[in-house]
Amino acid sequence: MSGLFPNAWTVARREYRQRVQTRTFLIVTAVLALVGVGIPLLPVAVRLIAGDETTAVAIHSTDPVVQSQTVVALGAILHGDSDGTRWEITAVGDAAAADVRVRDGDLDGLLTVSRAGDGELAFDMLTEAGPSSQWLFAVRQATTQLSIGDRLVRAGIDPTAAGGIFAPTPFEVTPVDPDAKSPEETYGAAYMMAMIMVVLTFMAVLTYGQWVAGSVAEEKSSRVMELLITAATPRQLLSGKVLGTGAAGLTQYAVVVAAAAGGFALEGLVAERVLGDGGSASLESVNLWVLAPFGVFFVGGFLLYATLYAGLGSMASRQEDVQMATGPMLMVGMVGYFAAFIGLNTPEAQWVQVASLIPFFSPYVLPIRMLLASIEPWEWLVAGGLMVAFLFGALWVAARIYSAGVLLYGQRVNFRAMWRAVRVNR
Amino acid sequence: MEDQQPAAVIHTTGLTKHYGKVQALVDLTLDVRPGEIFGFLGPNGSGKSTMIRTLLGFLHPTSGSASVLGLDIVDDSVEIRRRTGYLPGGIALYDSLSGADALDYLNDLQGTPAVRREELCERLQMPASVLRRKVRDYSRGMRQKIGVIQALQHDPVLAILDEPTEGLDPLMQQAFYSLMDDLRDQGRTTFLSSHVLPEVERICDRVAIIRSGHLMALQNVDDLLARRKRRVSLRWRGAAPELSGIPGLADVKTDGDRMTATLLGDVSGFVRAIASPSLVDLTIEPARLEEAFLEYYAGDDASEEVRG
Repeated sequence: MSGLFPNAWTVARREYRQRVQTRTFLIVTAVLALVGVGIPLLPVAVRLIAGDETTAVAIHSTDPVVQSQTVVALGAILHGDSDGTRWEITAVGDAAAADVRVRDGDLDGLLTVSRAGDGELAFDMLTEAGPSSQWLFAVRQATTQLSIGDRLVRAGIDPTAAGGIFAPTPFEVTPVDPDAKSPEETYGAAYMMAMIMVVLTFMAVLTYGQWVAGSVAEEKSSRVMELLITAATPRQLLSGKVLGTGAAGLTQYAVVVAAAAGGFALEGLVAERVLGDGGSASLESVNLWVLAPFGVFFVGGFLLYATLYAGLGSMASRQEDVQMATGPMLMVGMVGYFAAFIGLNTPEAQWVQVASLIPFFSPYVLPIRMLLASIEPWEWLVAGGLMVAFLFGALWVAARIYSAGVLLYGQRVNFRAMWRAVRVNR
Repeated sequence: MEDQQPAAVIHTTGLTKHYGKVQALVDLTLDVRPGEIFGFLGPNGSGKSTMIRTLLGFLHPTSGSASVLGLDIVDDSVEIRRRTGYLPGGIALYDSLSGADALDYLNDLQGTPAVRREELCERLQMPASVLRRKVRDYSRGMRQKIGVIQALQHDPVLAILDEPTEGLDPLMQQAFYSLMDDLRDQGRTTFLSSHVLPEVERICDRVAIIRSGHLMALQNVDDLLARRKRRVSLRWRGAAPELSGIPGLADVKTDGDRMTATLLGDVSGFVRAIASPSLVDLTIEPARLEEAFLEYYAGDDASEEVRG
């Protein structure tokens, strides 16, 4: 039996060059990188466009005391909100004139306040804004607070003491494990990060796995395979293909992820320059170094899927059959993907722990446990060992399917024939 | 007698391959001897490529066995492929590589130095300027030449060529034939398939005829040609002499000064007998395998399927 190298490298090098040099690859990578930079900056852009606008609300009431109190209190509550909306709360005496200004678009809303017979405050908003409008929601919340304050005063509670009633209650969370990675304040960011990683892993495995399968099928249908298989062994060709096409895929992936990371890093800076405030650097609070060991599992899982994709791709005689031939891999990938999404909300569950050790699922599930729970050293070893064992197993199985599959022309994808090939073919 | 023969380069015993109910090869037994050019002749779809793919271990025989270079085709196919030069039928290459890159790449994988590359490129007229171009821009014939070069560039002891002259123009076919002659002179063995009779006749030492997977004949080309009836026509100054006594000559028809006949076997006796100052013109049509086979298997529609 000939060794894997140097032929696998020779094949990998050609696969890599051939793919990276195509115009399609360059254009798609550039476009994806732009999207990668753009997505983190999108909130800044939205705020930039919306930020200059001031929401102008006029307050009218037949009772001047109620009117002035509402203007002051509503203004205080709304300006206290930190979402960046600018408010212009004014008192108007002429309701009819204000009504016209709302219809002309000069005013966003006219809030009419009245006190009913039982002393309750009643609010009526005249506006063109729809029910899902954010500022309308903010005003509505503010009026509720205003109303409760008013009830407290009417019930005889000192207005200065009433302020304290709305103060938040102290509530601390103390983790059992002092090293636990999820103190309350960073949990949200970690959750977000875990979700992003699951999606990115899923996309990488499927997209680039499909590349590998497609490229195998192409060599087979163009019959280049007959020449290659004479010069090199199926195992060498298969490994080279997986390494070369995989490396090209990871190159694109790395460029896009780096662009997105750059976008996130720039988000704060850009926001400061453009908007004059620090914005919210959403993922900064996650220590990205905890993800380093995950890189190993990402690459391992990627190779595992890509190897099997290559084997199954060899069963297809035409590009149109590739989807069908690689269907089982898509299904396995989907199971891991959905398991990871369910696991996001129960990172400590036992089934999540088990799934994080199984090679087909570990690339999806591990980041969740890393970011949201904790992993014992022995679990790393078991997961890593299983990954390596599965990789070799996959290479063995895929090479058999491949050597049987690549030269069977014009046959329909048939898993029974494939199974026979795996058992019989050398 | 068997012991005096050097070990066969290719040896098959009852080789049979079925695709489902289709019989692609049926009970094929043959030997290819060292240093010969062995022609495997048959119409399209007769099982030629199946035979070649089976020999190289791409397909596994349904029954029977075979060895190539003394190696079993099922157990040692990787080693067989490593030692053999192979030109697949209907060659395909990576379009985005240049001709030179394609040759380099295949040679890197093959792992044996490409000692014959330069000579082959020269003889098949593939100069560096052409090799620099991308395979995408090549004509059918250029691709075929790359295919021939890649099969022979590492100077294998055995070359298995599936329809090697497909797509080559007549000039290049001649260059290829003389290349084959030289390889034989250097003791290399070639197994080639073809559906072109004059080609096999021109370059092969022995030929096997296959039809629908069955071996119809296995003959020495020279023997076949020697036993074949040639058509001869002669023109005399004055009346034609009496020639009926010449061995092998039959169907003599005389029309004034012209005469036609058929001649079986050796031409030397005939040439001696007709040597005369009154002979004005003589035509002996080249012996054709097609007719030789028609004769051998007269009444058997098999040989009629073989096209010239």
